[in-house]
Amino acid sequence: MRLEVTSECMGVANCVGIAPLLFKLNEEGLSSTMPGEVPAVLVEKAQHAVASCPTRAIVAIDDNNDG
Amino acid sequence: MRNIDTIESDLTAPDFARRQHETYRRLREASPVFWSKASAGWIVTTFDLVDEVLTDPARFTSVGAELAHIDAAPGETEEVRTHFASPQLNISDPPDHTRIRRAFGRSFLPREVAGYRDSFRSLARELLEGSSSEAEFDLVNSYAEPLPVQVVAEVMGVPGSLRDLVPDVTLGQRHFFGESPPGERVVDEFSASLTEWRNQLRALLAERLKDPKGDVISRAAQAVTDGKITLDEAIATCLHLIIAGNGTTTALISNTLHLLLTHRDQLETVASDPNLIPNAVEESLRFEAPLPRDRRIATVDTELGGHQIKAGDRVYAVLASANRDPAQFDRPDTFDVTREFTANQHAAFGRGIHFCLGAPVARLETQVAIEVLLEVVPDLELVPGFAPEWHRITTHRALVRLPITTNLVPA
Repeated sequence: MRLEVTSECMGVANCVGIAPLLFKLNEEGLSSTMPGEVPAVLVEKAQHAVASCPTRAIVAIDDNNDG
Repeated sequence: MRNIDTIESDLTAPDFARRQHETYRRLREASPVFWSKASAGWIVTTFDLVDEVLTDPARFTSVGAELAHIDAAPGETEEVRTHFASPQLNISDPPDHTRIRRAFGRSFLPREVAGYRDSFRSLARELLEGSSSEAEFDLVNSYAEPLPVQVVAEVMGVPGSLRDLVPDVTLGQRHFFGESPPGERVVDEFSASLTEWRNQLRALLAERLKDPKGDVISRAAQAVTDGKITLDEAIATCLHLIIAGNGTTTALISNTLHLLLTHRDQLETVASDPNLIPNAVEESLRFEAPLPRDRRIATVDTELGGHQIKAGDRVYAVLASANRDPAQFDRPDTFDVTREFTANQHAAFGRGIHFCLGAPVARLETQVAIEVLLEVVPDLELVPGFAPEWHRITTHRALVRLPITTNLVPA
């Protein structure tokens, strides 16, 4: 699973509270996520962050489902 | 069936405001997607279904209802029509919505808004200094109403000379959309006040382009020059923000104070640990959503919670009910200032792309309002025998008054 923060982000920062290892606020005050595969131990937190984002600005991309 | 019929009469009863949470609980249990004849729309009451409606603007749009309302209004409505024909944040869909929100978004980021803390504190102190020496005063009319006018004007960059005109246009818009169709006098008054504001904003935008101040109006002027938004969009959106930040935050401040004053143990918890104030404000937002419901219109024939919705049907997503849904919140009817929100947000500011742009301002100014009140009047109490009376408008959950006594010995 990979994560992407879209332009719908309004800097609410719930995701930073839920999964500080995956999200941080960038210099503009918007959420940004670390690139690459989400470590298995953090997948549950990532899903939680996706679901709780009030502006629906976090997209989870599941590469494993392609094949 | 009888159960559903009584719900319909409860929704339109004169004492609906007093019993709204009980009525919504019955709706959640009996029929979370309910066709109300009186509201001429679907009432949606569970958290998941409210979320489904609000996060799918392609199926449930925010566009269209205002213009139909204006068409049905009597008298001279040309300026009103021009105003609401420009895409604004609350009545637009992508891609217009995305473009406009991007142009205004930076000013409302939590980090940016945090810089206003001291200025909000002085505005709150100034208002209280006028009243707090009296033994009894009304928190709604001397504090919760004037504070948002000043705060929004500060963030927007509305000069002092225009601030007295804010309540007129705010109430004018509420009355205009409050009746269908609105009366001729209501139309004339709103039209006059809207025209005055649009002219003032046009002049302000031109002025700030030459002499930018870092406020919202200055940034909007720059966005017009950069070709990101049109002048009409800048005028309409600035005025929308000035109006939207008013009645809603007045309701939030007075609801929060009312809840704290009627839950003394919670008030003591907050007073002994002011770090809990932000969380108390979140709990107030959950417990008494200032905007109880948000309206959408179905764009296609679709299914929602097992019901067939027709294209063109009105759909009311009831935020106040989603916030009391036991599937989402433990002990939903308990007011608890220590409730945990990081991982389980309430829906009071909406969900999806129309999530309230001004939320960080509303949060900060309400936190500051409580903080300053507790500092200046630490011994406040509700007037004995006070019974809450709510405004009879369906768009806001707002107290008519909140009279308090202070036991301060005059210096």
